[in-house]
Amino acid sequence: MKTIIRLAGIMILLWAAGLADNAQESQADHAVVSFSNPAKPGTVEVDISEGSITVRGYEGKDVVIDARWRERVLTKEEQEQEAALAEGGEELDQEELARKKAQAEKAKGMKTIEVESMGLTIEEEENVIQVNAEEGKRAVDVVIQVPFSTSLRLSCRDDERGVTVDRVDGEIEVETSDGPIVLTNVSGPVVADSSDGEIKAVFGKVVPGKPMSFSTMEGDVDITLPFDVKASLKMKTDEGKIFTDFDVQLKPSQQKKEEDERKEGGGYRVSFEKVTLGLINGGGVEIQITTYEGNVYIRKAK
Amino acid sequence: MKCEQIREKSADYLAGELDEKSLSEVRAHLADCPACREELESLSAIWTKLGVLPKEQPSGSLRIRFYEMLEAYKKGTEKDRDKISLGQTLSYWFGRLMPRRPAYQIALSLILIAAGLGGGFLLSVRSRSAARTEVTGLRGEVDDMRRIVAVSLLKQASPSERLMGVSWSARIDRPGDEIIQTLLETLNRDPNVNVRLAAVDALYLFYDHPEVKAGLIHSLAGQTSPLVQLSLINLLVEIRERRAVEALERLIQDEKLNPKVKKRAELGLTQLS
Amino acid sequence: MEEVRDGKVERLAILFERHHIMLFNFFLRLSGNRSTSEDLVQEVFFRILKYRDTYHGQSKFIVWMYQIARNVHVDHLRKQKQEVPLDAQFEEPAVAETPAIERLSAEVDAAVLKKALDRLPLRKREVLLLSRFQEMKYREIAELMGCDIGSIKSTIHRAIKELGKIYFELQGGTSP
Repeated sequence: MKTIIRLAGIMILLWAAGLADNAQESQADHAVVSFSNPAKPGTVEVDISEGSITVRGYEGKDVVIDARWRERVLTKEEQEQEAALAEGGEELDQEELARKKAQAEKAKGMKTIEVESMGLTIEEEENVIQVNAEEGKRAVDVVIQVPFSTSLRLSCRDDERGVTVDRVDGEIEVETSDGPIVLTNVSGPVVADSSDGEIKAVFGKVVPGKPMSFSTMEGDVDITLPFDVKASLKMKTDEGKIFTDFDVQLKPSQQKKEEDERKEGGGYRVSFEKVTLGLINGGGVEIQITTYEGNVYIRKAK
Repeated sequence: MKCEQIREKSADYLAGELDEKSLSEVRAHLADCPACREELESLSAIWTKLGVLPKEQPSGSLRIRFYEMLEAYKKGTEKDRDKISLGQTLSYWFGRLMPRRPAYQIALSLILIAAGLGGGFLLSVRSRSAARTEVTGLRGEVDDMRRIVAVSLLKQASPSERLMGVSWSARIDRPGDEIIQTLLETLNRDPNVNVRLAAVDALYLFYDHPEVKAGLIHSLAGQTSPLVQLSLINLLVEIRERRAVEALERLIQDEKLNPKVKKRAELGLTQLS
Repeated sequence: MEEVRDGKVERLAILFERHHIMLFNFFLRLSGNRSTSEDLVQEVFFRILKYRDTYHGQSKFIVWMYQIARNVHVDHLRKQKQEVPLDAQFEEPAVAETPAIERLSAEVDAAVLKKALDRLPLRKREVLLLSRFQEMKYREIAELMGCDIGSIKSTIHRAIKELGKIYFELQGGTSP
């Protein structure tokens, strides 16, 4: 006797086509979507390949989505290619040049018809709202208002503007390639990764229990925590420095196990990479921070 | 069959517990008795409606709280035994073990006697040998529990919970193949960079397992995140894993490789050879 | 379960994984409050750990677990009773404000049914929940409640009849 019911997921398709004739103005779209069970905190997932994501908590039950399509912008890759061509094509190898040339020959006498990107897809199923921008050539800036307790999974792969979140208490998972990640007034566990961008997070409070993690290759990690937070930090940076105004109690690296030490006779096993373990107010929530070049800032909220 | 009997049978009818014979008797009666038919129909309508009430999911914190409680409980007893401090909890705990585990009995009665005398001296004498074996056994149990917790957490949808799974794995003294495999899988398959980074650190603790070394070398080729690549290279250099040389050489050949990773890999090669 | 009793308490994790959602739903239907229900589930597993020696292999684990669950619930009610009227504790809003048409009828239906269930006297509610949602046999419920199987069956009969009556009354009230 199962008591599960599976109601068919509803799919709302919006903005079927952005028409080419008003290409001069950027288009704005608007949608309001409800969670199937508003009594329970929902999850919003956003995945866009180019553009920016802004999420704000508000006192409402629905999720309000606004999207603004930008002018046709060249992708970073295309821009680089153009720049390379302008500099005399040195960056493009011979093979690729030949390919481009052959393509141009093929289309001789014809003109390009731009294939417009077809907008956003929004789906709600079992309290998860998914917002996806189709892979296209136009960037989109998405602004979303969510109930405070919503959990977020945000992915923004290719832009300078990145992801901004304000006043959301749910769990937050973010990844960007180039863009910065800026989180303010958050409390839930945050797991954030950026390849090249900076990560900044200001916590109003910290929910105990669940671990957090921040990683970025090139950018800094800048985290502000409440003064009375109980946290255990594990920080790794190859070339960056670590700054803090907390009274951090440094711990010998856990990476060394007793048995290992005996076995190795205290040889080279002094530090694994550049790991710093530190406790704030006696330790608590596990926070892992990994950077390559970036600095790490752990600030005390004023 | 009378109307009254139908009423008695209705609960079994709804639950589908009636045997063939009773079922046909009930049906025969229903055919003739509109009142019973109507009643049973409305009962089954409600019964069916109840069946489709959705099952609610508790929040993730319930699971976390449970495992914290379990861990605390284990730790509490472990600590007590380590110190051979005879609080009420401990004698309670031992009391539970006594009737089922005769092997412990002698040692336990000793402790209990000692507790009765209130003497600390006797305790410290006996604690050396007997306690050690108990603690070893107990460590195995704690490990068992951590294994279960870790594997269950590593399967969660939330990256934070998977991070927690990794850190539980790292607390296991003697990981079995299951944990090593699960961690390697996390390292290779987890969609989140942060979770993969944590997995590298946890695997470092178990690098003396042959499978771990092979797994780490193998993983190097499949990683896409520069940070994870760097972390793996650092680790392999750290443990002086010479068999990694080949993998590093191949990595350097990759044209798409991040230049910083390439630099690190080249440095690693000189450090290893 | 015998293994839990014999000291392998980590086995409790398996039992937790197997039963905690059912248990949560049991408490949710009894109390109407999510966080209370989570607290009560936690308390049940704590008591299982604490009193594991009182479990004897004769009865199914699930029967024993719901015995504890009922005790936990009774203790909770005792604590709560003076302070809040039961109705005020219910936090689940009846229906979403703008539900999609497809799920409207099912959702309203479920909400009304939940409300009706909440108005059922405690004992009837418990018996109904155990048999319909917790996959327990009447025989097991009888064992758990310490009465004979016949009285459980007649409770089921009366409970559904009463539930139907409340349900149709509520529906009559909401849709003219």
